[in-house]
Amino acid sequence: MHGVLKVKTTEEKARELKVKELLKIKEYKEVVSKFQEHKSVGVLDQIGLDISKTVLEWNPEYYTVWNYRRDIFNHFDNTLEKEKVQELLTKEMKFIEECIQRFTKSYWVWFHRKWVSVRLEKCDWARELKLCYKLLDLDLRNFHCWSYRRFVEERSGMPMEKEFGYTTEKIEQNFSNYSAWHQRSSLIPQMYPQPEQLFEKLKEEFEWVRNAVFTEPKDQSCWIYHKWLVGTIKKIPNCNYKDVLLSEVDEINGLIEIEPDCKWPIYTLLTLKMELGVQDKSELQELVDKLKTIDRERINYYLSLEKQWQ
Amino acid sequence: MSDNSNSNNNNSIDHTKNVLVEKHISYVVNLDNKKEEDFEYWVTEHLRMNGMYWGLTSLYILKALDKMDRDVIINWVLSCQKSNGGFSGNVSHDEHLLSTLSAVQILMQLDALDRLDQDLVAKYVLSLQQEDGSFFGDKWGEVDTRFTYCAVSCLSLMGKLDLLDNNRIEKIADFINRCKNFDAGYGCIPGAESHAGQTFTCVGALAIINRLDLIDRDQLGWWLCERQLPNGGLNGRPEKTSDVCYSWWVVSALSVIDRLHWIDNEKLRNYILKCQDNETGGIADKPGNVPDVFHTFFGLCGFSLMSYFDMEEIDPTYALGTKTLLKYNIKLPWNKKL
Repeated sequence: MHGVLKVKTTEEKARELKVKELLKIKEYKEVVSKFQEHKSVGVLDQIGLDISKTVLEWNPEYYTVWNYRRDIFNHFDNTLEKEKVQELLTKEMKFIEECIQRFTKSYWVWFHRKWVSVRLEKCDWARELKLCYKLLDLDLRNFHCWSYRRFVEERSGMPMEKEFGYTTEKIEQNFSNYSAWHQRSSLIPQMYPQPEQLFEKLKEEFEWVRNAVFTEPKDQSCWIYHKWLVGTIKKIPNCNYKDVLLSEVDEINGLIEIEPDCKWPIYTLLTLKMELGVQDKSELQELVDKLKTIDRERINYYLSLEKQWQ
Repeated sequence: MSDNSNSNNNNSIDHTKNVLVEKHISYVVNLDNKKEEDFEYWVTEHLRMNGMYWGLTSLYILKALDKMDRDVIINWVLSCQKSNGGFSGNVSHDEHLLSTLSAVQILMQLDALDRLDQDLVAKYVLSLQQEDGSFFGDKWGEVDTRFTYCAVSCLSLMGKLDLLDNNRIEKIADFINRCKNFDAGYGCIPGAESHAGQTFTCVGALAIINRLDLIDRDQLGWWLCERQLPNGGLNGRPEKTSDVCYSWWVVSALSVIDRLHWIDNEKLRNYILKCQDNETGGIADKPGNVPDVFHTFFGLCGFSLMSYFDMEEIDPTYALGTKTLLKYNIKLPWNKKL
C-alpha cells in the first residue's frame, strides 16, 4: 500500500489490532449493506442521500456511491422546487469539502466537486479558490488540486496575470515546486501571443530563473524550465535569440566555477553550446565526458547525445 | 489454494539479490484468503476487476497462471458486465472504462474472449468518445487521458479499432497532443502537469493508433530517464520520491520509444528487489513498506521489461503477455525482438 510502513509488533499488540480491525470491518460492512439495500429498492430520496453519505465518510473511493448521489440530484431536478435543490447542492459542496480535506487525492471526489459546482446557480468561486490556496499550502504538488484550480480560474474568469503572480509566489517559497513551474510555462504563451512581447518576457524569465538555479543548482525543476525557455525563445521568428543564449553561457560558466561537480549547469551549458552550434567540438566533448562520470545512471543518454557531433 | 508445501517459512534467501518467485506466487494466490481480517480488502472492493487483472498478470509473468481457478474467474468477470456492455469494478458496482479494459484483458489472458459479446463492449466504449477526441470514463463525464488509453486499447484488443474512422483517430491524436507539456511529458487533460503514469497512457494510446510520430522521442526519453534517482528507483514527477509503480509507467513508456537503455537497468532492478517482502512475498512501493498486488504487478513488470530473471515477457503497450497478444494476432511493431 502506498506509504504504509511495515512494523513489527508483539503478539499481544497484534491480537489487539486484529480485534480492532475485525470490528472496523463489521461496522463498514453494515454501512455498505444498508446502502445497497436502499439502492436496490430504487427510490431516489433524501434517505438515500443520508445513507450513501455514511458510506463515503468511510470510503470516498467507492465511486458507485457518488454516482448514486448524482442520480438522486438529477431526480430532484425534476421533482423538487429549484430552491430546495440548490440548497441541497450547497450542502453537498460542504460535504465534499470535508471529504477532500481528509482524502486529498481521490479522483472521484474532485470530479464530484466539479459536477456539483457547475450546477450551482451562484457558485462562490472566490471561496473555491481559497480552498485551493489552503490545500496547495499543505501539499504544494497535489495535481488534483492544481487541476481544480485551473477549472476554477476558467469558470470564474480569473485574469491570467493573477495566476502568474501566484506561481511567482509559490516558486519563491520553494524552488522545487515543479507544479508551479509547469503552470508558468503554460501561462506565458497565452499571456504573450505576440512574438515581440513573448521575446521580451522570455528574456525576463531567463533573469528570473537565474536566481533559482544559483540558489538550488541541484534542483531539476528550475533547469527543466530553463531548457523550456531555450526551446521556446529559439522558435520565435526574426528574433536575436542567440545573443540571449550567449549571455546565458556566460552566466552558467560562472555557476560552474562555484559548483564544478554539479551536473545541471554542465548539462545546460552543453545543450546551449549545441544550440549555438559551436565550431570546436572538443568543447562539447569535454562537457559530455564530465557528465558521463558524474551522472553514471544516464551514461547511455550521454553516449547517444555525443553521436550528434562525433 | 495456499502453497505451504514448499519451505516458504525459510527467510534465508537474500531478497536484495534474488527474486522470490515462489513467495510472490503464494502471495498473489492467497490474496482472497485475507478478506476475513483485512479492512483494506473491503474498502478496495470497487477495484476488484483491476486487482484481478494485476494478480493474474503477475502470475502470468511468473509462469504460474495455472494456479488460479480459470472457470471461477471467467464467470465472475462476466457477472460484472452490465446491459450496456460496460464492466463494473465488482458485482453490484457501476460500469466504467477502467474496469472494462481490465475485464477484456483478463478474458484474453485466460483465452476466453469468445465468451464475450464484443460488439456490445465496443458499443459501450464508442459511446464515451467526445467531439474533441477525448473519452469520458463513464456516463458521468470525467475526462482523462487514462480513459483514452482504456478505450483504444480495449477496441484494439478486440480487433475493433477500425470502428474508429480516420477522422475520429485524428481527433484522438489531437487531444493527446494537447495534453503534451513544456517538458515533453503528458498530463490528465490539456493544461495538467506531466506525470509518468499519464505519460504511459498517452504513449500507449499513440502507439496503438499508430501515431508515435507525434512524440519527440529524445525530449521525452530525457525527461523519463531523469525520473531515476540515486537509489535506483524511479519517481513519477520531478522532485518526488521513488516508487515501484514507476517500474511500469516509466519503463514501459521508455520501451515503446526505444529508450529503455537510457536508465540504469541494473540499479532499478536492485531497487525493486529491495522492495520485496521477504516474509509474505509481494512487492511494496518502497523498501520496508507493506506489499500489495498493485506494486507486486508493477515490480514484476519492471523485471520483465528489462529482461531479468527469465520472466514471461510483458508487452509495454498493452500490458499483457506478448505470447497472449500474438495468439490473437495483435501487431506489436514496437517489439524489436519479433
